[in-house]
Amino acid sequence: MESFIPPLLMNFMVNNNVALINPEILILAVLITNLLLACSPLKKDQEFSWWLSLTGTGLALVSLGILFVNVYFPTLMDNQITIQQHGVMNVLQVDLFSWVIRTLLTLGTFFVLLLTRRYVEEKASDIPGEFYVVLMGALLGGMLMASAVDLVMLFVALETLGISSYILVGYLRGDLKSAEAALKYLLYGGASTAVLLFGLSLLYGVSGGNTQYAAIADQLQRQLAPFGHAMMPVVPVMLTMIMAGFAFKLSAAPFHMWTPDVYEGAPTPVTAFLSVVSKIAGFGAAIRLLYLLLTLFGQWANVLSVLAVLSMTIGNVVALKQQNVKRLLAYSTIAHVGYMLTAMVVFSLNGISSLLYYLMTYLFMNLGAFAVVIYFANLTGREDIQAFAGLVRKRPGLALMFTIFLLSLAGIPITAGFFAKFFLFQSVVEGGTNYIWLIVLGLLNSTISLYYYLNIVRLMVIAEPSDAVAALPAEPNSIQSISSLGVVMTICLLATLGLGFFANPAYDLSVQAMTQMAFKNVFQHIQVSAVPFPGGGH
Amino acid sequence: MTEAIIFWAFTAISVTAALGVVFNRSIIYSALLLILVFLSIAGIFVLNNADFLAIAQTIVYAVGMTIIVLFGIMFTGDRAMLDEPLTSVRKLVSLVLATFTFVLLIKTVQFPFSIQPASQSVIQTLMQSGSTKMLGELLFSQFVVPFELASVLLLVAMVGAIVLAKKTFADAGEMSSQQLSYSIDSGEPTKEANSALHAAASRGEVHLEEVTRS
Repeated sequence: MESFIPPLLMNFMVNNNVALINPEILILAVLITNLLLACSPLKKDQEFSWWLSLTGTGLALVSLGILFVNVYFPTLMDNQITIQQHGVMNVLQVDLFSWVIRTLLTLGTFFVLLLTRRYVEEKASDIPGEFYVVLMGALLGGMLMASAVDLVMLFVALETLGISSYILVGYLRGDLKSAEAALKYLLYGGASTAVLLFGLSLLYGVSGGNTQYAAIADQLQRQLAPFGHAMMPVVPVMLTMIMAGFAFKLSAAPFHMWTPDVYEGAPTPVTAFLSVVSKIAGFGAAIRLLYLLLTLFGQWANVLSVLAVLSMTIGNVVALKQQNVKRLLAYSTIAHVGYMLTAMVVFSLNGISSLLYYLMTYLFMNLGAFAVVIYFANLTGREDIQAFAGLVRKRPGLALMFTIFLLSLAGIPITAGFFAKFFLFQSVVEGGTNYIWLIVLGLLNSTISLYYYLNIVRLMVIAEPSDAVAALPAEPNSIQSISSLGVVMTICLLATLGLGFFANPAYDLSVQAMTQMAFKNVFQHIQVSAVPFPGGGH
Repeated sequence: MTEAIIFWAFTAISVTAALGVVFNRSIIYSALLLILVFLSIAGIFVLNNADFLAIAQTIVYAVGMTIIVLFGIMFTGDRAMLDEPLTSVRKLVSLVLATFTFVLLIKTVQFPFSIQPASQSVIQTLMQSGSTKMLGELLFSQFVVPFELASVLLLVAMVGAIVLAKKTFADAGEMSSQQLSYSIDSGEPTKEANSALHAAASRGEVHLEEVTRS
């Protein structure tokens, strides 16, 4: 390998830890190869682009595994947290936290690719190769977002994910709903990005012209000392803008208006991508940046509690009357974002670790649910909830899997969803009596969500078969029809149950990841005793 | 002193032109006034020693973007703006919100706690060689990863724009778009064109009214 690389370049790569972003480089290679392939005479070969992307994403997973064994596992075994340099080219911090997020993103995209296969062929058959180019672009942006520790890097990565998502949403070109969804997403997204960028530029100004997180923390800490921070009008404006920008990306209420329309109009695999991969990437970037900001401006976390409560309540209550299963899952996503935001309100180590664990389980249970929806839509062409009636008579396996995913989303014990909610609320309890009302509202909301999740289960099990289900052939007609979707469903099912049975190792991993991230990013530069600030100012 | 006069002149031009963009009834005039806004802001950049930014602003915004806006307007037709009454509730709410945000932002930047003055060496370099060289060096050292990623971003955006815009009549029917447009121009669609259009319309891809009107 070394013989191919000039020594000067090799030195540069070793000095800058370029090996840590091998997965990203792989994904970029897949992107470019796919693009060349789409221009070549081979472009009619739709299978090939798909196989190439799937293999590339799989190789990226392998590469992440190698990184874990070689780089992160040794630091995990160390009980002392050693400050290992995981910085790449000054703008990325590729630590264990970003490893977890990147693995989730790559895994999510791998599943989305499996979900995509027949969908793209059937619905957008004339230009399939480009779909994978854009999808890889979105993944690349998301992965870099998770490790960005520089405002410029964060913004460019965020936009790479964002713009790719707008394109993916509008990919069904003949479909008016898809076009409407793409336009809405683009307009809302553009406006929110502008707000976020304004906030970031204020942060750049406040921190004396620094773009790196570590330098910003350092500078803010030094500059804040002479001022009572409460009297600076720039801080609330800046924080509000940054939080509003992220709240849009995470589709937290009241910035959620775009979500149901976009989720309904987008091609279903893209909806799965948006609801899982985009959210995980958004949380990854938000945790890094807000960790820095909220350590300094602790009391502003209360703004997040408003977002959390609004998201939970609006998501769950509006989900009650949804008839389309994609819209239902959209509102359920908003509600889950609300639960996850409660952990950010407390912003303790345990809180953020449980958020990370929640993201892990959310990936599997939500993608599993989407896999079932796509499978069902492939069979019957229906997306309304009533169509699922009596499914257990014709496809007991499918109905059982859907039931488990829905129970996990609702947070019923022995599924991973239960443990995720349990850890999350437990960390909020530890945050103190101030947050008891958050728990109460969270539990109330979980109860509301039971209604609409179990409603689908009731329909599938008890109700008479709908005409769509009644028209189904008795048994799956061939292995071909279950291959790729079946793989996704099975893996998601195993993981949903497995993360429940083996909750502890997964939770420990997130605690480790958070400890390293927090330590390296902030506490290295800020004396822990100096934070948090007293709530009322001076 | 002269600097202050030039600054206020540019500011006055940009604000007046911006008001013109919003209040002008003709969308073409609005687009043209937008060029003036961008140019006067480029002038303010020059006053702040940001020469590269000024050139980029002129090339990208004042020229490139507004030309595209103008093309867009001309392709879609210069439709009359919706006549909304000046005192609708929506406008009042927008006015209050906009005023609030404006005052807030003014208060924010007025606060003394803001960006630090540049160091002597930076000012020296700026005076001697302009900001372009410094920006270039930064882009290829500290910000090389975002810079490379930006190229990926543009590539993906370009591919996506082509994919989304590659919608022609030929997709809808079996015939080429050339044939189709020819038949529409002549006023009497040929039999093939008609059948292709109806096939497209039945799939919801083309609105027949629009085609026949044109």
